[in-house]
Amino acid sequence: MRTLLSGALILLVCACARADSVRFRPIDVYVDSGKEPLAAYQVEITATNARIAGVEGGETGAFADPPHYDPAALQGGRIILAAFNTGIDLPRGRTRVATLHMEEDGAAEYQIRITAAATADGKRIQAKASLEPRQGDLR
Amino acid sequence: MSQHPDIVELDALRLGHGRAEDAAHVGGCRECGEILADLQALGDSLKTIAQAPPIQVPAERERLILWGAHKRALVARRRPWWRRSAWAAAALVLIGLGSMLRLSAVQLTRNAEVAMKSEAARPRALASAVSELEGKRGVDILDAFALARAVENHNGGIDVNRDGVVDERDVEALAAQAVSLRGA
Repeated sequence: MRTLLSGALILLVCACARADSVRFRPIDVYVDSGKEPLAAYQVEITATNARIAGVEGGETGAFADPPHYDPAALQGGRIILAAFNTGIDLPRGRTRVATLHMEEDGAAEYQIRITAAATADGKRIQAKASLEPRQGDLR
Repeated sequence: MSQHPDIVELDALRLGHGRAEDAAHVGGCRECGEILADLQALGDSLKTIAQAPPIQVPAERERLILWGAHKRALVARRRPWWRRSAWAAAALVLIGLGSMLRLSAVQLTRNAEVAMKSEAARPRALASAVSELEGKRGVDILDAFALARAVENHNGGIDVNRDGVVDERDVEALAAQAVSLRGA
């Protein structure tokens, strides 16, 4: 009986510890197109110890809508984000193009790789991509 | 005062099937009495029309109408002589040209076959264009961007979803391919 109670207690402690370690954290996705106006971008993001819970649009009008992504990426650790805008009001420099909502389970790590970027006339440009995690909420 | 009966209830009264309370209401309500009288008048006039004999078309008028229709049919069938001659002349010129260019019937058939083959190959060409795009370096968002610009400028493009129209749905399909995890 004592053994059974000890086992139950250990399981309870483990469950509580696991619940404490899950954290919901927004990760901002930035693309820096330098002096060129940014009309299109595509990035690939991979995460370890984290699952993608949602995708949100960016800060500027041109990329305010959520980008294109494969719905199969949700609840996984890898996603390709891409968007374009055929308008003329395009951002330059460092721009927040999207925000990922992540469910972290322990010490999460993220990587981003830019695979395409173009300016208004469709010409490929060199751009940099980066991620900026915000303060998350423990659950 | 009780509530006014509606038009259906009033018409039921006109036909003698109405409810007693509606009849009592109409007896004391001038407005409803007038509507009922109008319905009665309308019913009587419809009855008069229904009982009228069918309209008879005079025999002479009927004959003229039929003759007019017959004449039009004849004119439509017959072509003027000069038009027939023009066709004949055109046929002669074509035959002459055919002889000059030594175009045999076999050659014409062969050309038609080639044309039909190229028409049949068109969807395959479109499909192969998309496949080529996918296979070469993988589709990315710049392909969708280029297609979106082409659609906006009415400048053609690839029919990605093969529905016979190049539009925003093709752009969406290409963008979906670009971000697909299966292909990446």
